[in-house]
Amino acid sequence: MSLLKNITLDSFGLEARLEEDKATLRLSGTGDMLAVEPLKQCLKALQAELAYQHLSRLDVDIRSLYLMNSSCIKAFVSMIYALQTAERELTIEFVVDKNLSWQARAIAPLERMAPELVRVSSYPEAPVES
Amino acid sequence: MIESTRRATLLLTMTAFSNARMVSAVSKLLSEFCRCLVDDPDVAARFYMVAQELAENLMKYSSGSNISVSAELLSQDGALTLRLEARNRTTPERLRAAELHLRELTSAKDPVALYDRLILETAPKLNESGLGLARIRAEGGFNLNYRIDGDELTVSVDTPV
Repeated sequence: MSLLKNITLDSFGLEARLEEDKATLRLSGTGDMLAVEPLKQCLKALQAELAYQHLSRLDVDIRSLYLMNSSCIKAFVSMIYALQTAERELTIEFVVDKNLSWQARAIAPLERMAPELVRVSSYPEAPVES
Repeated sequence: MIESTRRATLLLTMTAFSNARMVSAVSKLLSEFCRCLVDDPDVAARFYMVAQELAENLMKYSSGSNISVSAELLSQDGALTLRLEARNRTTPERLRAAELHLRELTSAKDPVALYDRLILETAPKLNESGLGLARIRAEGGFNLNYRIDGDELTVSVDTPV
């Protein structure tokens, strides 16, 4: 049974999905103070899944996010640091909306922190849910 | 010296800034104020991030009442500037720590390099961010200033628009 749980708050959502060799997180809404603790818990559970299931890839789609505060960024910094320290062979791909330039700017420091793990991809827009 | 003219001002004063919902409400109000004044989505997004970081600091570090936030659109010699100021009282210990941090941030010649360094330094620390103010210069591209008057700290940020 997966430790990963979706998060549904009034202003923030996180959809977590595990597939054969990768995990996907899709964040939406506002990554503010209310989102920080649930996000930290999710990333902690995710680290356990990445290790247990030997996943090689993590996609983090933030195209439907309107704000990411510094504590949410720090939650990702902590996870990346833990993965670096554990010398995990993994690719973390942040997917950003190229029309929302703040997203690439917010994620760029994570790529500079761990270029061997993190990359950023820009797409025109978030997918429409069917 | 040419005086700035206030084109628009939003001033919020509070006697308590007690929870995350209020932070969210204040930063959204400041962001909407900015969107009404500036027809540039990128400036608005940067301003929203800055408003959020400053409002969070007010909640985390204020002691006592007399908390205020102001947003202003200033005109000087035909140029427009968007300014945000956050003011609060705090403890002597917190004031000293804030002054050290702000002095380093405001004097940094390369705010991006400083932000990257702070990220590496705080990465092993689980319950500490300390990145919010650094991000305002490095990521937001805002000018950052501060002043201390007694036990009162004012953090002021601005950007041309």
